[in-house]
Amino acid sequence: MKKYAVFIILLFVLPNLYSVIFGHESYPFTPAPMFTHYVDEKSDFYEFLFFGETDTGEVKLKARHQHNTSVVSQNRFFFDQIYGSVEHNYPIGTVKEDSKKAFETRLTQFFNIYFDYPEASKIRQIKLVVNKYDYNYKLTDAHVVGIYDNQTKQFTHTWEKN
Amino acid sequence: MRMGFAAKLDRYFFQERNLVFLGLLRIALMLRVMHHVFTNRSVELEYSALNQLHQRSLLVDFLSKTFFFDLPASVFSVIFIAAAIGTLFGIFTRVSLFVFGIFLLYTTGFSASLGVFDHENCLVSQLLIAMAFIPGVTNVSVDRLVKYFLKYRKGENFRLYEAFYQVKSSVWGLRLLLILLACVYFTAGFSKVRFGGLKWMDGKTLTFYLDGHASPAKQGRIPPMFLSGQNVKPAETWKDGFGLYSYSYGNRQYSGIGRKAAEFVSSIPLLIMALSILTVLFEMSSFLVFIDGWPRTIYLLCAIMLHVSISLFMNLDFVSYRIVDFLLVDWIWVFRQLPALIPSKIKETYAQLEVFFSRPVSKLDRELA
Repeated sequence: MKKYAVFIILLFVLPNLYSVIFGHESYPFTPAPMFTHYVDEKSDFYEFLFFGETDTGEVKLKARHQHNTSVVSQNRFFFDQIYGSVEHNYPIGTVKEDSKKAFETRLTQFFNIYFDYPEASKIRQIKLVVNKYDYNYKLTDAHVVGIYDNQTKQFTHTWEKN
Repeated sequence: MRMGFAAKLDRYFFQERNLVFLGLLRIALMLRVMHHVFTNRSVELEYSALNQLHQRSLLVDFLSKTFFFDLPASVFSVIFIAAAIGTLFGIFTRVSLFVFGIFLLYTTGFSASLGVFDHENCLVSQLLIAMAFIPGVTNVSVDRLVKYFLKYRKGENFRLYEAFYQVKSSVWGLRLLLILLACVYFTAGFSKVRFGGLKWMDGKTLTFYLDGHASPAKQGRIPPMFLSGQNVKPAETWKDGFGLYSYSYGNRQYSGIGRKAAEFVSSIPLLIMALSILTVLFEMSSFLVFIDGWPRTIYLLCAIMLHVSISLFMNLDFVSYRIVDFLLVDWIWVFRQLPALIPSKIKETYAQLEVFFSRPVSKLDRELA
């Protein structure tokens, strides 16, 4: 009975302790990273935007997925699993040891699935832009990260060429 | 004679106590989870339709490869609801708890792969699965009633209350639940220092979340949420020239009263700093739940107050945590402290009920006949 109890206790406690000690989140084990990153009045905020290039100019596009409809969950998914944090030991997500090639591959897969709807498919190219805002959400800067080509179905990282 | 450490540890984990509250915890958690499931309609997802772009956690991926998770959504839902009913009434209690817990972990794990990590059900699913293996969870169950009805048919002698709960069970399972709960509280406090630094306690982060900056209701839209570090190294900016580290969370309080209360608190720098320090210290003191009596009781009651205040300020209700906190309070210790406070009429009624439920069933049976 005691051996059984010790086995069950360790079975549940060890993965939780791993998550607490190493600060890595893997469902259902969590280091509870919500609300933990420091914010003050000097902080800047960023937003991802997608612009489609048409003959008449640029149109703002939205990522779409049948099962992932909430803007918040799409944003978090995009950052955690596609874009990737540059923070050392980022607690969430699956992007480790990133490279330009891996970055382009993930973004290509993302665009192929999240922009596979009639309005977006008609557009030649889609730009991924990061907008920068100050603490009071006043736009201060914007950078084009890369371009998705709807003909070749490939994303190209262009930031370094800007 | 003084006890050695090993003997103390053995006594701590394997002493016997009344665990009737674990039966109530089983019922209360099931009701809360089903309310959540029906509100979010999360069991209706066609899991097989999700592509590989959404990466599942190691455990959820492992579960997805087992045969029964490849079931059609309708069959999956029927099994899930049957397990929920079994958990509620205590029918095949342990099997129902295991299936219910693991299906909950699976469905919420898929939500995590879509971007929203459910910090409420990640603990609840673990507790439910753990409860399938520990003593005390079959208290207040149909299984128990049936078992003692069969004993009655055989003419075996027992006391009436035994048909509802076991007087004494080994406490190691209760300790396990408390360890899992303490891990979550501790890591919530520790992560604030780990990811935000000691400066997290200056109150500015909490001010940002309470003063309306993070509120879609006040901003008129979901505000830009991504953050960069304040000392970003040039090598970290290769993707976009900025170097994005993480994201902020939203304050989804839409009630006017809640928002005004949050804005008032955040407008007093000393108060918000004190609350920030207190929150981190409180969360990191979760080891207090390992000490029976007043430390566990006071800690868990304060944890409920913390959740109530977060619910008021941010509309994050965490009802499951409140249920777990409430039912894991050391109620035996509480009742021992109460006699002086209880009116004599209630004491008399309780004594009469105790006598009734303590009767040997065979004797009761003869009297009724």
